[in-house]
Amino acid sequence: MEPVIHIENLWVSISGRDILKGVNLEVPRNVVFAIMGPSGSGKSTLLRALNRILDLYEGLAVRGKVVVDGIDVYNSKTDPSVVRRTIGMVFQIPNPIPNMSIYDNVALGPKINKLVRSRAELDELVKWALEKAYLWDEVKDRLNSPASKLSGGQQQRLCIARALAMKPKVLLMDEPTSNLDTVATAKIEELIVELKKEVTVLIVTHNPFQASRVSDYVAFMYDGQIIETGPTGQIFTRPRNKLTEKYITGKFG
Amino acid sequence: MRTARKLKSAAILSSLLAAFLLTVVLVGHIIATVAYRGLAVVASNFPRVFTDIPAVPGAQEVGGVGPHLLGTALLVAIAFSIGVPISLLAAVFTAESLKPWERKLGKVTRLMTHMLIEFPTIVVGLSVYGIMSALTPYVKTFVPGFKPFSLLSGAVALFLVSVPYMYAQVEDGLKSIPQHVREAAYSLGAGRFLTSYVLLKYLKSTVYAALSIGLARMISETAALFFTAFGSDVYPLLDAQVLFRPIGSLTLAVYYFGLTGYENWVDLSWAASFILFALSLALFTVSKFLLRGR
Repeated sequence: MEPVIHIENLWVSISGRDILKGVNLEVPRNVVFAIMGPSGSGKSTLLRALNRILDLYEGLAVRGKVVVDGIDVYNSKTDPSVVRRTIGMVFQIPNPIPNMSIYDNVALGPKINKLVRSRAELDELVKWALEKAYLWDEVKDRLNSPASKLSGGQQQRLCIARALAMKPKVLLMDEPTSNLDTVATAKIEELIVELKKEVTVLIVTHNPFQASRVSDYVAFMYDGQIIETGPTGQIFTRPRNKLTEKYITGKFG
Repeated sequence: MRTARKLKSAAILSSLLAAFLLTVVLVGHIIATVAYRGLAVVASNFPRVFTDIPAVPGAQEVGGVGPHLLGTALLVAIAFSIGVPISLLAAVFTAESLKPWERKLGKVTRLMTHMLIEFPTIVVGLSVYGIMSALTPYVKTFVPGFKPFSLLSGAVALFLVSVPYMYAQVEDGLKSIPQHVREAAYSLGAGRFLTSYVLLKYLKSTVYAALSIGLARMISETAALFFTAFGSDVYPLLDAQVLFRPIGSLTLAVYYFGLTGYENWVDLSWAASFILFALSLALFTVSKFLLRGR
Protein backbone atom coordinates (compact mmCIF):
# COMPACT_ATOMS: atom_id res chain seq x y z
CA MET A 1 0.00 0.00 0.00
CA GLU A 2 1.14 3.53 -0.81
CA PRO A 3 2.59 5.24 2.31
CA VAL A 4 0.71 8.34 3.49
CA ILE A 5 3.96 10.13 4.38
CA HIS A 6 7.08 9.89 2.27
CA ILE A 7 10.20 11.79 3.34
CA GLU A 8 13.29 11.74 1.16
CA ASN A 9 16.69 13.11 2.16
CA LEU A 10 15.24 15.99 4.23
CA TRP A 11 17.70 18.60 5.46
CA VAL A 12 16.53 21.44 7.65
CA SER A 13 18.65 24.23 9.03
CA ILE A 14 17.56 27.20 11.12
CA SER A 15 19.79 30.28 11.26
CA GLY A 16 22.66 28.30 9.72
CA ARG A 17 22.45 25.39 12.18
CA ASP A 18 21.64 21.94 10.74
CA ILE A 19 18.78 20.37 12.68
CA LEU A 20 17.74 17.56 10.32
CA LYS A 21 20.50 15.87 8.37
CA GLY A 22 19.13 13.77 5.54
CA VAL A 23 16.02 12.15 7.02
CA ASN A 24 14.33 9.34 5.06
CA LEU A 25 11.03 7.94 6.32
CA GLU A 26 7.88 6.21 5.08
CA VAL A 27 4.72 6.02 7.16
CA PRO A 28 1.87 3.64 6.22
CA ARG A 29 -1.79 4.67 6.40
CA ASN A 30 -3.93 4.34 9.55
CA VAL A 31 -1.21 3.41 11.99
CA VAL A 32 0.29 5.07 15.04
CA PHE A 33 3.89 5.88 14.20
CA ALA A 34 6.08 7.03 17.07
CA ILE A 35 9.26 9.05 16.74
CA MET A 36 11.39 8.75 19.84
CA GLY A 37 14.76 10.11 20.76
CA PRO A 38 16.57 12.26 23.28
CA SER A 39 16.01 16.02 23.58
CA GLY A 40 17.58 17.98 20.73
CA SER A 41 17.55 15.07 18.29
CA GLY A 42 15.27 16.94 15.86
CA LYS A 43 11.97 15.11 16.51
CA SER A 44 9.83 18.23 16.90
CA THR A 45 11.53 19.89 13.92
CA LEU A 46 10.73 16.84 11.78
CA LEU A 47 7.08 17.08 12.83
CA ARG A 48 6.94 20.82 12.11
CA ALA A 49 8.58 20.26 8.72
CA LEU A 50 5.67 18.05 7.66
CA ASN A 51 2.95 20.71 7.95
CA ARG A 52 5.22 23.68 7.22
CA ILE A 53 4.74 25.25 10.64
CA LEU A 54 8.50 25.65 10.32
CA ASP A 55 7.77 28.48 7.89
CA LEU A 56 7.14 30.65 10.98
CA TYR A 57 10.81 30.39 11.99
CA GLU A 58 13.32 32.99 10.88
CA GLY A 59 16.40 31.86 8.93
CA LEU A 60 14.86 28.59 7.74
CA ALA A 61 16.37 26.52 4.91
CA VAL A 62 14.81 23.23 3.75
CA ARG A 63 16.12 20.71 1.22
CA GLY A 64 14.69 17.35 0.22
CA LYS A 65 11.26 15.98 -0.53
CA VAL A 66 8.20 15.56 1.66
CA VAL A 67 4.99 14.07 0.26
CA VAL A 68 1.92 13.82 2.50
CA ASP A 69 -1.24 12.20 1.12
CA GLY A 70 -0.10 12.98 -2.40
CA ILE A 71 0.76 16.64 -1.68
CA ASP A 72 4.33 17.64 -2.47
CA VAL A 73 4.73 19.76 0.69
CA TYR A 74 7.76 21.85 -0.37
CA ASN A 75 6.84 22.31 -4.03
CA SER A 76 6.89 26.04 -4.74
CA LYS A 77 3.34 25.80 -6.12
CA THR A 78 1.97 24.19 -2.95
CA ASP A 79 -0.05 26.46 -0.68
CA PRO A 80 1.05 25.90 2.95
CA SER A 81 -2.57 26.41 4.09
CA VAL A 82 -3.66 23.39 2.03
CA VAL A 83 -0.87 21.33 3.66
CA ARG A 84 -1.98 22.40 7.14
CA ARG A 85 -5.60 21.59 6.34
CA THR A 86 -4.61 18.03 5.45
CA ILE A 87 -2.37 17.58 8.49
CA GLY A 88 -3.74 18.29 11.96
CA MET A 89 -1.42 19.08 14.84
CA VAL A 90 -1.51 18.74 18.61
CA PHE A 91 1.19 20.45 20.63
CA GLN A 92 3.21 19.81 23.76
CA ILE A 93 1.44 22.55 25.72
CA PRO A 94 -2.35 22.29 25.49
CA ASN A 95 -3.11 25.44 23.51
CA PRO A 96 -6.79 26.12 23.02
CA ILE A 97 -7.41 29.78 22.12
CA PRO A 98 -7.96 30.90 25.73
CA ASN A 99 -10.65 33.54 25.33
CA MET A 100 -12.80 31.39 23.06
CA SER A 101 -15.50 28.96 24.16
CA ILE A 102 -15.13 25.18 23.97
CA TYR A 103 -17.49 25.11 20.98
CA ASP A 104 -15.72 27.95 19.15
CA ASN A 105 -12.31 26.33 19.58
CA VAL A 106 -13.49 23.20 17.78
CA ALA A 107 -15.59 25.12 15.25
CA LEU A 108 -12.81 27.56 14.37
CA GLY A 109 -10.95 25.39 11.83
CA PRO A 110 -14.05 24.21 9.90
CA LYS A 111 -15.42 27.76 9.96
CA ILE A 112 -12.39 29.57 8.62
CA ASN A 113 -11.74 26.88 6.04
CA LYS A 114 -15.42 26.81 5.02
CA LEU A 115 -15.75 23.07 5.52
CA VAL A 116 -19.42 23.32 6.48
CA ARG A 117 -22.40 24.99 4.88
CA SER A 118 -24.82 25.41 7.77
CA ARG A 119 -24.89 25.87 11.51
CA ALA A 120 -26.53 22.45 11.89
CA GLU A 121 -23.70 20.85 9.94
CA LEU A 122 -21.16 22.67 12.13
CA ASP A 123 -22.93 21.55 15.33
CA GLU A 124 -22.82 18.00 14.04
CA LEU A 125 -19.11 18.23 13.22
CA VAL A 126 -18.24 19.76 16.61
CA LYS A 127 -20.14 16.99 18.37
CA TRP A 128 -18.45 14.33 16.24
CA ALA A 129 -14.97 15.72 16.95
CA LEU A 130 -15.60 16.05 20.69
CA GLU A 131 -16.93 12.47 20.79
CA LYS A 132 -13.90 11.17 18.94
CA ALA A 133 -11.69 12.98 21.47
CA TYR A 134 -13.59 11.38 24.38
CA LEU A 135 -14.64 14.82 25.61
CA TRP A 136 -18.28 15.17 24.59
CA ASP A 137 -19.78 13.70 27.77
CA GLU A 138 -17.70 16.00 29.95
CA VAL A 139 -18.47 19.24 28.13
CA LYS A 140 -21.81 18.81 26.35
CA ASP A 141 -23.61 20.94 28.96
CA ARG A 142 -21.11 23.79 28.90
CA LEU A 143 -20.07 24.17 25.28
CA ASN A 144 -20.21 27.95 25.60
CA SER A 145 -17.95 28.27 28.63
CA PRO A 146 -14.36 29.37 28.06
CA ALA A 147 -11.88 26.68 27.03
CA SER A 148 -9.45 27.99 29.63
CA LYS A 149 -11.75 26.69 32.40
CA LEU A 150 -11.02 23.05 31.43
CA SER A 151 -8.37 20.95 33.17
CA GLY A 152 -5.02 20.37 31.44
CA GLY A 153 -6.01 16.90 30.20
CA GLN A 154 -9.38 18.14 28.97
CA GLN A 155 -7.70 21.06 27.20
CA GLN A 156 -5.39 18.66 25.40
CA ARG A 157 -8.36 16.49 24.34
CA LEU A 158 -10.05 19.70 23.17
CA CYS A 159 -6.99 20.41 21.03
CA ILE A 160 -7.25 16.89 19.59
CA ALA A 161 -10.94 17.54 18.84
CA ARG A 162 -10.00 20.85 17.23
CA ALA A 163 -7.51 19.08 14.96
CA LEU A 164 -9.97 16.25 14.16
CA ALA A 165 -12.72 18.70 13.21
CA MET A 166 -10.68 19.55 10.13
CA LYS A 167 -10.98 15.88 9.06
CA PRO A 168 -7.22 15.63 8.50
CA LYS A 169 -5.52 12.67 6.84
CA VAL A 170 -2.58 12.81 9.25
CA LEU A 171 -2.45 13.92 12.88
CA LEU A 172 0.87 15.14 14.25
CA MET A 173 1.30 14.99 18.02
CA ASP A 174 4.29 16.67 19.60
CA GLU A 175 4.80 15.11 23.04
CA PRO A 176 1.08 15.53 23.75
CA THR A 177 1.24 14.17 27.31
CA SER A 178 4.46 15.68 28.60
CA ASN A 179 2.57 18.33 30.60
CA LEU A 180 -0.14 16.02 31.94
CA ASP A 181 -0.53 13.77 35.01
CA THR A 182 -0.66 9.98 34.74
CA VAL A 183 -4.47 9.72 34.68
CA ALA A 184 -4.81 12.29 31.90
CA THR A 185 -1.89 10.64 30.05
CA ALA A 186 -3.57 7.22 30.20
CA LYS A 187 -6.75 8.67 28.75
CA ILE A 188 -4.92 10.35 25.88
CA GLU A 189 -2.89 7.22 25.12
CA GLU A 190 -6.11 5.19 24.95
CA LEU A 191 -7.50 7.82 22.61
CA ILE A 192 -4.42 7.76 20.35
CA VAL A 193 -4.80 4.01 19.76
CA GLU A 194 -8.47 4.53 18.94
CA LEU A 195 -7.74 7.46 16.58
CA LYS A 196 -5.84 5.41 14.01
CA LYS A 197 -9.21 4.21 12.66
CA GLU A 198 -9.73 7.80 11.47
CA VAL A 199 -6.25 9.15 10.76
CA THR A 200 -2.60 8.26 10.60
CA VAL A 201 -1.03 9.41 13.86
CA LEU A 202 2.58 10.53 14.00
CA ILE A 203 3.56 11.02 17.60
CA VAL A 204 6.80 12.42 18.96
CA THR A 205 7.79 11.28 22.41
CA HIS A 206 10.90 11.26 24.54
CA ASN A 207 9.41 8.42 26.54
CA PRO A 208 10.23 5.01 25.00
CA PHE A 209 7.60 3.32 27.18
CA GLN A 210 4.90 5.53 25.73
CA ALA A 211 6.11 4.67 22.23
CA SER A 212 5.91 0.96 23.05
CA ARG A 213 2.40 1.35 24.50
CA VAL A 214 0.72 3.28 21.71
CA SER A 215 2.54 2.75 18.43
CA ASP A 216 2.53 0.18 15.64
CA TYR A 217 5.79 1.47 14.18
CA VAL A 218 8.61 3.39 15.73
CA ALA A 219 11.60 5.40 14.56
CA PHE A 220 14.56 6.29 16.74
CA MET A 221 16.16 9.67 16.05
CA TYR A 222 19.51 10.93 17.15
CA ASP A 223 21.41 14.07 16.13
CA GLY A 224 19.07 14.98 13.25
CA GLN A 225 19.05 11.51 11.71
CA ILE A 226 16.80 8.48 11.81
CA ILE A 227 18.96 5.76 13.33
CA GLU A 228 16.51 2.91 13.09
CA THR A 229 12.89 2.32 12.15
CA GLY A 230 10.56 -0.67 12.10
CA PRO A 231 7.55 -2.35 13.73
CA THR A 232 7.36 -1.45 17.43
CA GLY A 233 7.54 -5.06 18.63
CA GLN A 234 10.70 -5.67 16.66
CA ILE A 235 12.47 -2.45 17.69
CA PHE A 236 11.77 -3.04 21.37
CA THR A 237 12.74 -6.73 21.36
CA ARG A 238 15.45 -6.98 18.69
CA PRO A 239 16.94 -3.53 17.95
CA ARG A 240 19.58 -3.69 15.26
CA ASN A 241 21.46 -0.57 16.28
CA LYS A 242 23.49 -0.21 19.48
CA LEU A 243 22.25 3.37 20.04
CA THR A 244 18.63 2.26 19.80
CA GLU A 245 19.26 -0.53 22.26
CA LYS A 246 20.94 1.86 24.69
CA TYR A 247 18.03 4.30 24.39
CA ILE A 248 15.23 1.82 25.00
CA THR A 249 17.04 0.16 27.88
CA GLY A 250 17.58 3.53 29.54
CA LYS A 251 21.37 3.37 29.29
CA PHE A 252 21.60 6.38 27.06
CA GLY A 253 24.09 9.19 27.69
CA MET B 1 25.18 48.59 58.48
CA ARG B 2 21.60 48.13 59.58
CA THR B 3 21.12 51.84 60.23
CA ALA B 4 22.48 52.71 56.78
CA ARG B 5 20.05 50.24 55.18
CA LYS B 6 17.15 51.65 57.16
CA LEU B 7 18.11 55.21 56.22
CA LYS B 8 18.34 54.26 52.54
CA SER B 9 14.96 52.56 52.69
CA ALA B 10 13.40 55.58 54.44
CA ALA B 11 14.89 57.94 51.84
CA ILE B 12 13.52 55.91 48.92
CA LEU B 13 10.13 55.58 50.59
CA SER B 14 9.84 59.28 51.32
CA SER B 15 10.87 60.29 47.80
CA LEU B 16 8.27 57.87 46.39
CA LEU B 17 5.66 59.39 48.68
CA ALA B 18 6.70 62.92 47.67
CA ALA B 19 6.46 62.03 43.97
CA PHE B 20 3.05 60.48 44.55
CA LEU B 21 1.76 63.53 46.44
CA LEU B 22 3.13 65.90 43.82
CA THR B 23 1.36 63.95 41.05
CA VAL B 24 -1.91 63.85 43.00
CA VAL B 25 -1.72 67.58 43.75
CA LEU B 26 -0.87 68.54 40.15
CA VAL B 27 -3.45 66.27 38.51
CA GLY B 28 -6.01 67.19 41.16
CA HIS B 29 -5.34 70.88 40.57
CA ILE B 30 -5.80 70.54 36.80
CA ILE B 31 -9.01 68.53 37.16
CA ALA B 32 -10.36 70.87 39.84
CA THR B 33 -9.59 74.04 37.85
CA VAL B 34 -11.07 72.68 34.62
CA ALA B 35 -14.13 71.44 36.47
CA TYR B 36 -14.55 74.65 38.48
CA ARG B 37 -14.01 77.11 35.63
CA GLY B 38 -15.46 75.05 32.81
CA LEU B 39 -18.39 73.35 34.49
CA ALA B 40 -19.75 76.73 35.66
CA VAL B 41 -19.82 78.03 32.06
CA VAL B 42 -21.26 74.77 30.67
CA ALA B 43 -23.95 74.63 33.38
CA SER B 44 -25.07 78.24 33.00
CA ASN B 45 -25.23 77.96 29.19
CA PHE B 46 -26.61 74.45 28.96
CA PRO B 47 -27.54 73.12 26.42
CA ARG B 48 -26.78 76.00 24.02
CA VAL B 49 -23.04 75.78 24.72
CA PHE B 50 -23.04 72.51 22.75
CA THR B 51 -24.91 73.88 19.74
CA ASP B 52 -24.39 77.65 19.41
CA ILE B 53 -21.59 79.40 17.60
CA PRO B 54 -19.34 81.64 19.76
CA ALA B 55 -20.79 85.03 20.71
CA VAL B 56 -19.03 88.16 19.46
CA PRO B 57 -15.96 89.08 21.55
CA GLY B 58 -16.71 91.24 24.57
CA ALA B 59 -20.43 90.39 24.61
CA GLN B 60 -22.34 89.50 27.78
CA GLU B 61 -23.19 85.96 26.60
CA VAL B 62 -20.57 83.35 25.68
CA GLY B 63 -22.34 81.51 22.89
CA GLY B 64 -21.22 77.96 22.30
CA VAL B 65 -18.68 75.62 20.74
CA GLY B 66 -21.12 73.77 18.48
CA PRO B 67 -19.02 74.10 15.29
CA HIS B 68 -15.91 73.00 17.19
CA LEU B 69 -17.65 69.97 18.64
CA LEU B 70 -18.86 69.00 15.17
CA GLY B 71 -15.38 69.67 13.76
CA THR B 72 -13.74 67.39 16.33
CA ALA B 73 -16.34 64.69 15.61
CA LEU B 74 -15.73 64.88 11.84
CA LEU B 75 -11.93 65.05 12.11
CA VAL B 76 -11.79 62.13 14.54
CA ALA B 77 -14.35 60.06 12.62
CA ILE B 78 -12.36 60.33 9.38
CA ALA B 79 -8.92 59.86 10.96
CA PHE B 80 -10.10 56.97 13.13
CA SER B 81 -11.93 55.09 10.40
CA ILE B 82 -8.86 55.22 8.14
CA GLY B 83 -6.37 54.82 11.00
CA VAL B 84 -7.78 51.68 12.59
CA PRO B 85 -7.62 49.34 9.59
CA ILE B 86 -4.25 50.73 8.50
CA SER B 87 -2.62 50.38 11.92
CA LEU B 88 -4.01 46.86 12.40
CA LEU B 89 -2.91 45.76 8.92
CA ALA B 90 0.54 47.29 9.34
CA ALA B 91 0.96 45.65 12.75
CA VAL B 92 -0.09 42.27 11.35
CA PHE B 93 2.22 42.71 8.36
CA THR B 94 5.31 43.48 10.45
CA ALA B 95 4.64 41.03 13.29
CA GLU B 96 3.51 38.14 11.11
CA SER B 97 5.89 38.54 8.18
CA LEU B 98 7.26 35.22 6.96
CA LYS B 99 9.30 35.83 3.84
CA PRO B 100 12.78 37.44 4.19
CA TRP B 101 11.83 40.53 2.14
CA GLU B 102 8.70 40.97 4.26
CA ARG B 103 10.74 40.79 7.44
CA LYS B 104 13.12 43.46 6.10
CA LEU B 105 10.26 45.73 5.03
CA GLY B 106 8.64 45.10 8.41
CA LYS B 107 11.78 46.24 10.22
CA VAL B 108 11.89 49.47 8.17
CA THR B 109 8.17 50.10 8.85
CA ARG B 110 8.69 49.55 12.59
CA LEU B 111 11.67 51.91 12.68
CA MET B 112 9.87 54.65 10.73
CA THR B 113 6.75 54.40 12.87
CA HIS B 114 8.72 54.59 16.09
CA MET B 115 10.47 57.67 14.71
CA LEU B 116 7.10 59.21 13.88
CA ILE B 117 6.02 58.74 17.53
CA GLU B 118 8.92 60.95 18.59
CA PHE B 119 8.14 63.72 16.07
CA PRO B 120 6.73 66.98 17.50
CA THR B 121 3.12 67.04 16.33
CA ILE B 122 3.42 70.61 15.06
CA VAL B 123 6.06 69.36 12.61
CA VAL B 124 3.68 66.61 11.50
CA GLY B 125 1.01 69.27 10.88
CA LEU B 126 3.46 71.46 9.01
CA SER B 127 4.56 68.55 6.81
CA VAL B 128 0.96 67.71 5.97
CA TYR B 129 0.40 71.36 5.08
CA GLY B 130 3.51 71.28 2.87
CA ILE B 131 2.40 68.13 1.08
CA MET B 132 -1.17 69.38 0.63
CA SER B 133 0.07 72.71 -0.72
CA ALA B 134 2.35 70.97 -3.18
CA LEU B 135 -0.50 68.73 -4.30
CA THR B 136 -3.07 71.51 -4.61
CA PRO B 137 -2.29 72.64 -8.21
CA TYR B 138 -2.46 69.05 -9.49
CA VAL B 139 -5.49 67.88 -7.48
CA LYS B 140 -7.40 71.09 -8.25
CA THR B 141 -7.73 70.08 -11.89
CA PHE B 142 -10.14 67.28 -10.97
CA VAL B 143 -11.23 68.41 -7.45
CA PRO B 144 -11.81 72.17 -7.90
CA GLY B 145 -12.33 73.04 -4.21
CA PHE B 146 -9.15 71.35 -2.92
CA LYS B 147 -7.25 73.50 -0.38
CA PRO B 148 -4.40 72.85 2.05
CA PHE B 149 -6.30 74.28 5.06
CA SER B 150 -9.10 71.76 5.31
CA LEU B 151 -10.94 69.04 7.15
CA LEU B 152 -9.10 66.52 4.98
CA SER B 153 -5.65 67.90 5.94
CA GLY B 154 -6.65 67.95 9.59
CA ALA B 155 -7.82 64.33 9.43
CA VAL B 156 -4.58 63.30 7.70
CA ALA B 157 -2.56 65.05 10.42
CA LEU B 158 -4.55 63.34 13.19
CA PHE B 159 -4.10 60.05 11.37
CA LEU B 160 -0.31 60.53 11.27
CA VAL B 161 -0.17 61.53 14.91
CA SER B 162 -2.16 58.60 16.28
CA VAL B 163 -1.55 55.67 13.92
CA PRO B 164 2.01 55.07 15.18
CA TYR B 165 0.67 54.64 18.73
CA MET B 166 -2.05 52.20 17.71
CA TYR B 167 0.34 50.34 15.44
CA ALA B 168 3.11 50.05 18.06
CA GLN B 169 0.76 48.77 20.75
CA VAL B 170 -0.86 46.13 18.54
CA GLU B 171 2.48 45.07 17.06
CA ASP B 172 4.01 44.65 20.53
CA GLY B 173 0.95 42.64 21.51
CA LEU B 174 1.26 40.35 18.50
CA LYS B 175 4.97 39.87 19.16
CA SER B 176 4.24 38.86 22.74
CA ILE B 177 1.85 36.06 21.75
CA PRO B 178 3.44 32.77 22.86
CA GLN B 179 4.80 30.75 19.95
CA HIS B 180 2.56 27.79 20.83
CA VAL B 181 -0.60 29.88 20.42
CA ARG B 182 0.65 31.22 17.10
CA GLU B 183 1.50 27.70 15.92
CA ALA B 184 -1.97 26.52 17.00
CA ALA B 185 -3.60 29.25 14.94
CA TYR B 186 -1.50 28.48 11.85
CA SER B 187 -1.98 24.71 12.22
CA LEU B 188 -5.70 25.17 11.54
CA GLY B 189 -4.90 25.67 7.88
CA ALA B 190 -6.08 29.25 7.57
CA GLY B 191 -4.17 31.74 5.47
CA ARG B 192 -2.15 34.48 7.10
CA PHE B 193 -5.00 36.97 7.01
CA LEU B 194 -7.47 34.74 8.85
CA THR B 195 -4.81 33.51 11.24
CA SER B 196 -4.04 37.11 12.13
CA TYR B 197 -7.74 37.65 12.75
CA VAL B 198 -7.67 34.78 15.25
CA LEU B 199 -4.54 36.22 16.89
CA LEU B 200 -6.10 39.70 17.10
CA LYS B 201 -9.16 38.15 18.73
CA TYR B 202 -6.80 36.53 21.22
CA LEU B 203 -5.35 39.99 21.85
CA LYS B 204 -8.76 41.64 22.17
CA SER B 205 -7.92 43.66 25.28
CA THR B 206 -4.62 44.96 23.85
CA VAL B 207 -6.37 45.95 20.62
CA TYR B 208 -9.13 47.79 22.52
CA ALA B 209 -6.53 49.56 24.67
CA ALA B 210 -4.49 50.55 21.59
CA LEU B 211 -7.54 51.90 19.80
CA SER B 212 -8.69 53.93 22.79
CA ILE B 213 -5.22 55.45 23.18
CA GLY B 214 -5.33 56.36 19.49
CA LEU B 215 -8.79 57.85 19.82
CA ALA B 216 -7.81 59.83 22.92
CA ARG B 217 -4.80 61.24 21.08
CA MET B 218 -6.94 62.26 18.14
CA ILE B 219 -9.47 64.03 20.35
CA SER B 220 -6.83 65.88 22.37
CA GLU B 221 -4.40 66.83 19.58
CA THR B 222 -3.91 70.57 18.99
CA ALA B 223 -0.58 71.47 17.39
CA ALA B 224 -1.01 69.20 14.38
CA LEU B 225 -4.23 71.05 13.51
CA PHE B 226 -2.81 74.61 13.39
CA PHE B 227 -1.59 74.32 9.81
CA THR B 228 -4.14 71.79 8.64
CA ALA B 229 -7.71 72.06 9.95
CA PHE B 230 -6.84 75.71 10.66
CA GLY B 231 -9.98 76.38 12.70
CA SER B 232 -13.35 77.94 12.06
CA ASP B 233 -16.01 79.40 14.35
CA VAL B 234 -18.98 78.74 12.11
CA TYR B 235 -20.75 75.55 11.12
CA PRO B 236 -19.39 74.05 7.92
CA LEU B 237 -21.80 73.51 5.04
CA LEU B 238 -22.21 69.75 4.97
CA ASP B 239 -21.99 69.42 1.19
CA ALA B 240 -19.60 67.69 -1.18
CA GLN B 241 -16.95 70.35 -0.52
CA VAL B 242 -16.91 69.92 3.27
CA LEU B 243 -13.66 67.97 3.12
CA PHE B 244 -11.85 70.90 1.50
CA ARG B 245 -12.83 73.72 3.86
CA PRO B 246 -11.14 74.75 7.12
CA ILE B 247 -12.87 73.39 10.20
CA GLY B 248 -12.80 74.11 13.94
CA SER B 249 -12.01 71.70 16.72
CA LEU B 250 -12.43 71.75 20.50
CA THR B 251 -8.68 71.87 21.08
CA LEU B 252 -8.26 74.79 18.68
CA ALA B 253 -11.16 76.53 20.48
CA VAL B 254 -9.38 76.11 23.83
CA TYR B 255 -6.22 77.56 22.36
CA TYR B 256 -7.59 80.47 20.33
CA PHE B 257 -10.30 81.65 22.75
CA GLY B 258 -7.95 81.25 25.73
CA LEU B 259 -5.38 83.54 24.11
CA THR B 260 -7.77 86.46 23.64
CA GLY B 261 -8.35 89.01 26.40
CA TYR B 262 -12.15 88.90 26.04
CA GLU B 263 -13.75 87.57 29.16
CA ASN B 264 -16.59 85.77 27.37
CA TRP B 265 -14.16 84.02 25.02
CA VAL B 266 -11.88 83.00 27.89
CA ASP B 267 -14.98 81.52 29.54
CA LEU B 268 -15.73 79.68 26.30
CA SER B 269 -12.18 78.33 26.32
CA TRP B 270 -12.79 76.90 29.79
CA ALA B 271 -16.07 75.40 28.65
CA ALA B 272 -14.32 73.73 25.70
CA SER B 273 -11.62 72.43 28.10
CA PHE B 274 -14.27 70.93 30.31
CA ILE B 275 -16.05 69.27 27.38
CA LEU B 276 -12.73 67.82 26.18
CA PHE B 277 -11.98 66.57 29.68
CA ALA B 278 -15.44 64.99 29.99
CA LEU B 279 -15.03 63.32 26.58
CA SER B 280 -11.67 61.83 27.57
CA LEU B 281 -13.08 60.66 30.89
CA ALA B 282 -16.04 59.06 29.13
CA LEU B 283 -13.68 57.33 26.72
CA PHE B 284 -11.53 56.09 29.58
CA THR B 285 -14.59 54.76 31.42
CA VAL B 286 -16.01 53.05 28.34
CA SER B 287 -12.69 51.34 27.54
CA LYS B 288 -12.34 50.21 31.18
CA PHE B 289 -15.88 48.87 30.99
CA LEU B 290 -15.14 47.01 27.74
CA LEU B 291 -11.99 45.53 29.23
CA ARG B 292 -13.47 44.50 32.55
CA GLY B 293 -12.59 41.00 33.63
CA ARG B 294 -10.26 40.37 30.69
